[in-house]
Amino acid sequence: MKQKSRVFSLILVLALLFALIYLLNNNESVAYDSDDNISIAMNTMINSVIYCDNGEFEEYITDIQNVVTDLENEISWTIDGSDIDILNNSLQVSNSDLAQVIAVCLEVSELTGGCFDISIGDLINLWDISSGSEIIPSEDEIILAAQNSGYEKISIIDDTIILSESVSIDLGSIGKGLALDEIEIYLEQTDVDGAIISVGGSVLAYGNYNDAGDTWQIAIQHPRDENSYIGVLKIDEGFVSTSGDYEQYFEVDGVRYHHILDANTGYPSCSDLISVTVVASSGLLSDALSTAIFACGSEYAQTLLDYYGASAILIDNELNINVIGDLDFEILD
Amino acid sequence: MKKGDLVLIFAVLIFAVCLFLPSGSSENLIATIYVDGEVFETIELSSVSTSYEIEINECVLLVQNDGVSFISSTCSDLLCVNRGKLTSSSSAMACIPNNVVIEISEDSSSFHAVAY
Repeated sequence: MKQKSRVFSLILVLALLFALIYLLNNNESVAYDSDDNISIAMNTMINSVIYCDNGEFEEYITDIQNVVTDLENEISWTIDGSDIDILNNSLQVSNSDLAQVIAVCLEVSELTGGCFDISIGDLINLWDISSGSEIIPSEDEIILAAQNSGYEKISIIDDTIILSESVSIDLGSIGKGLALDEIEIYLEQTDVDGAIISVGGSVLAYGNYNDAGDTWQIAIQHPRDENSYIGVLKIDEGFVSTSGDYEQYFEVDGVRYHHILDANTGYPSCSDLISVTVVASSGLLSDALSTAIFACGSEYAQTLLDYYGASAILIDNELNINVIGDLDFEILD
Repeated sequence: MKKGDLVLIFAVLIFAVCLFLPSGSSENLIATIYVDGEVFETIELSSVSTSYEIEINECVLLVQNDGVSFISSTCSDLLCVNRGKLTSSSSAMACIPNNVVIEISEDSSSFHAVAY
């Protein structure tokens, strides 16, 4: 009898063990093969992680770099012969894709009363904060550069972009997002299962990284501690862009002069927000909206996000976090 | 069933569950140095007992067991040097003019990317 009970116990234990192993294995997802690379293009870092079984990783990574370089040659205002260079110098250029992009930018400019503006190339050049300059320009210089800007001087007729006066178009605020849009178009033509691509901190989450379709986890930079993250955003796919006052800035007499300028004042924007992360259906929108909401302030957020069907995480100067829209965002301690 | 059998059942079950629990995070940081878009060197930071310098593409990097920094560069803006030491996982910094990138990652990193 004693012996029987022992055998029974053993069988029970083994059965439970196998059931447990089966359950755990059954829930375990299988990650796709992956490879990653960091390169520099568009004056920023391109961090590509590609997930694909039996994929030609090197080819994908090279192609992605080429997609970004091709776009840069088209939209960089500092590259001779780019469409934006032609536009700035000849006051008009025909390019249907570019016309659509600029139409969206003009719409955001109108919705923000000109606070977001792509025609402030002269002001950006004057401050030159992205190049590490720490000089506050004179009032006269700022007024002059501000006069040479204004989105209302840009119009679009069919596929042609026309400037009524000489203004300097600078697509720096949306260039990274545009690159991600082009990369998404490229990835859709490949066998890649999933990819997470960061172009200078703007992120595209594409497809899946495992066969369970688990969400992508994207850390959001802490705006006041460069070596930590303020939270983790979980998304199935989409575009994520963050704008803040902490990436490129200098301080004079306790005032922080950062690289995102308010077109209406000619100075670095001074809203109630220090970091804005937007999740949108395109890189153009996530970049444009994060810049616009950061520059113009939280009062513009709901309207802009509703209009474009986007969501956002707003952080104010007391590090209060406000999540707008249906986002899975976990705040880190 | 005896008391001893129950103990045995629980012991085996606990052992089985432990087998499947994720192993504790190793905090094992890996620094990868990219030069001109290619991996130049991969360094397991915990194995760095004495900090040392790497000279590459007109930049000097300081490798320590808790992070990597640019200590000098010929670039005009010096944004790389002013950035200080990179210590957190899943992050990267670069000297863009000289095409040198430092990335810190962790084997068990819980993030896929960082938005900044």
